[in-house]
Amino acid sequence: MRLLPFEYAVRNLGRSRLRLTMSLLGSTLVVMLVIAATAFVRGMERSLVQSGSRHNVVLLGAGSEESIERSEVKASIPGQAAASIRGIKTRLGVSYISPEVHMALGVGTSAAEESNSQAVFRGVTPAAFMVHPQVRIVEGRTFDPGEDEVIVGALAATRLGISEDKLAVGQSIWLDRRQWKIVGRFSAPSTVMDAEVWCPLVNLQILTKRDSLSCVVITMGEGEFADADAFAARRVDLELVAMRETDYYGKVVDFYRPVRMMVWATAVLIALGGIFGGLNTMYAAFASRVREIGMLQSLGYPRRAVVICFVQESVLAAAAGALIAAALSLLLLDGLAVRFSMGAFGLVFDGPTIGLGLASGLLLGIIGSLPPAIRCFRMQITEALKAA
Amino acid sequence: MNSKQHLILAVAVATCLATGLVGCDNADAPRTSGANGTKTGGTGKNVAAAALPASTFLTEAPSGAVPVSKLKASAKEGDEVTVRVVVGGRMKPFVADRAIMTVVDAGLANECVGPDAPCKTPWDYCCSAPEQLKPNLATVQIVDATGATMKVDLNASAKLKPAATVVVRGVVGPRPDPSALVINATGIFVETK
Repeated sequence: MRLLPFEYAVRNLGRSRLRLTMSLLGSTLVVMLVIAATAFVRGMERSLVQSGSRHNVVLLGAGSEESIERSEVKASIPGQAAASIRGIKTRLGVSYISPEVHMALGVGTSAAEESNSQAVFRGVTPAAFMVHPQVRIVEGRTFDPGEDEVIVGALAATRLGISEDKLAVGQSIWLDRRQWKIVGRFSAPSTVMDAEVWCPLVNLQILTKRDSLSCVVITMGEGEFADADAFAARRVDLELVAMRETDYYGKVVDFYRPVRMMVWATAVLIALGGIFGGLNTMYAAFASRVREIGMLQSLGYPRRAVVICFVQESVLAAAAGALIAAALSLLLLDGLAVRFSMGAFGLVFDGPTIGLGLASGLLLGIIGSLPPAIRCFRMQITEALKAA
Repeated sequence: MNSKQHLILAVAVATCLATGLVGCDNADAPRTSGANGTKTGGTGKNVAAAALPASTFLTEAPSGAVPVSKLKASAKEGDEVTVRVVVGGRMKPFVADRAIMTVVDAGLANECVGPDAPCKTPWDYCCSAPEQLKPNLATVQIVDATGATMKVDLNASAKLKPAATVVVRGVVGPRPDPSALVINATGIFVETK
């Protein structure tokens, strides 16, 4: 098959600057939206999936498998678990058992300020840093047990909707009119912990007037999940459930499925709008070139060759728009964090995210050009040559 | 369009796609091991499945079954006991890779069972009041010669399923708390409906 020169398609792009601009703009907007939607969904999924370690087991109160914050277990569970569960990881004689209290609490940044926004507080002991190795102190120090001191996650300010300065090391936050000094900042990238505030377990229990725990997190060494599950089954009096940490966050991922579906649905609807807009532009563009099409056919180019040339034009414009969108997304959206009920997560602009955006741009170019091109070629050559 | 121009177009499209695909860095991300969490190894180790002793399943029901609540009040470690129970009391009554199951005394009426009951997991007795369920809840396990729980799924056999009524004969295990009762089973009879 004799094809039209590639340069012909490239030169045609510049024949109407307005049309080219419209095509580029439409493609850029649609691809940016697809990239943003993908980055949102991947960011949310990653923050939940990476929060759990496959070596960790969470002991929760029976019936609270859906939410650690609702769970209550006895304060004696860590000791009983240490004595009964075989194969818990140890280091220098210290068992990887972390008793924790998780609570969403209203935070004020001054004594007089009303606490409008909430952050998830995690009351922990030093063992928490053993079972959650993702957590690293990046500034300051950790809190002293017994002191009203906190360390804040890298996304805690985003979760609270306040500036980073107000959560700087040396500043204070107020919980129930009680001052807590910020002594350090930690980072736990791509996990829900990154948006949390950690404090001494006992101090949080005193503040919230509870003597129970939310959960006990255990890292298994030689032992297996079955050993912890067997402990929960034998001690029916403790009313415990053992869950793999990955399974717990897997359930949370499922819980947020409707949100992800909404995001995708919005992206698809707007992409459809972009495709219809593109179709409209291409119909108008191709309709004004009917005589050109007739002339090319009379010169001996088969219909398929002319269609391919038109598709090349459209794909080139859409691909250029997609690259602009990818660049703009990385410049404007990379590093942004989004608040949600479990904390906050950063948008993820990785290979699959950008790849999907670029692929959608190419698809937009192909789908947007084929129907109008095919429509034009239904006309007979003689009619096309006579067209105004 | 000649082959050179084809090549230029192909390279342009491939570059466009490769820009996005380079840097795919999620290979090491931990994965969930299934929402139900019953069949995947927690630490990735394979559990050597032992076989249950041939004498585990009885052909005739042992006599002299005592209610679980009565046993909880009086039984001591080492006592030989017989109970008639229903496999359940938790959403997942069996422990994967361990010969352990939770059971509820068969004498306790299950509010979850009935034509109008909407419960999808009636064996967990979620419709019963906790203060009624707790005294009637016990644990049955099968141990090896060393006293360790056997590494085998009890529900791997077709005989034991959630909500099955069984008569268990065995020996009372350690009792760290009066409301905990673990029976080391020496024989299990599965009732057929």
